[in-house]
Amino acid sequence: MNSRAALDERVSLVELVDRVLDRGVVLRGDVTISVAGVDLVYLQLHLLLSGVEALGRKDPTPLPGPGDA
Amino acid sequence: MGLYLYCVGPAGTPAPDGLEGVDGHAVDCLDLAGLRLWVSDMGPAEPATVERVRAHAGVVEAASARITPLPMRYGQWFETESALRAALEDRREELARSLAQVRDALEFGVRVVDPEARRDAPPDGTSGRAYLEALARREREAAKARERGQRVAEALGAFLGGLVRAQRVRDGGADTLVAIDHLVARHDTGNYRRRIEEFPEREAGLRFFFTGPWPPYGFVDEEA
Repeated sequence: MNSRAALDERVSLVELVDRVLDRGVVLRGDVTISVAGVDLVYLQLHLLLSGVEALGRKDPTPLPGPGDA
Repeated sequence: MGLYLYCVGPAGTPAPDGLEGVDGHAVDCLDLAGLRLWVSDMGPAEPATVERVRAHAGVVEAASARITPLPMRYGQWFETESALRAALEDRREELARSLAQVRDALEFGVRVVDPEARRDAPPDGTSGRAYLEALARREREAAKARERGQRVAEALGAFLGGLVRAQRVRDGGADTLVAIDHLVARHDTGNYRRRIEEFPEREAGLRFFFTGPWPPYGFVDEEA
């Protein structure tokens, strides 16, 4: 997988984790969920984003197709 | 054991068939308080992992095939059916409002990154005035980035016009200038995709990452 595809995949994963763990309806506010291994996602995103500049600026990332997200 | 809740939708929407959820638990549909619920009969949710997050999202996505449900946040578990019913009835009006807002719509995400931005730590080994000046400089840069993120979000919203039913702006963290969610009617998703791909040309120097469609996680009141 090239770095661009890896970056796109990582961004999709971070977007997914953000949604499922930090948004959505909370019916029970007293449920405490610990997170195992998810902080790693953010660390990896940070590392990948640091390489964004090298990918070129005039080439916007296309929308993933259905089911890619 | 208890009921783990993935999402709620209008009563009468089709049930999933042979679907597996968190930790491989079977997913069933349950009609309660005038809503259709996607649930698993299981104990309390274990700590979140990427695999469990994907499993939760997979059920919500399956439920979103024909209708737009309200996704739950990971970990919503109830010891008994009556406890779940009571929680739903307590929030009946808010849930109905949220369901009406997301009806026949899906969510798209836009993450905007400024490759030039650097969130460097203050210099090591310095003290006193130099250290405080470095902190102040970093805070000024962060404030400018937030303002720029807001401007980009507003410009994008204006560019998309009526293709967006609602927009929410959030701090994306991790070197992200701004993260934006759009709620888009299902019949407009093709036009939305085509239109938004034209926008990055207007914002030289920024990188745009588009994701979606998603179930509308960002367009429910958290304490619905």
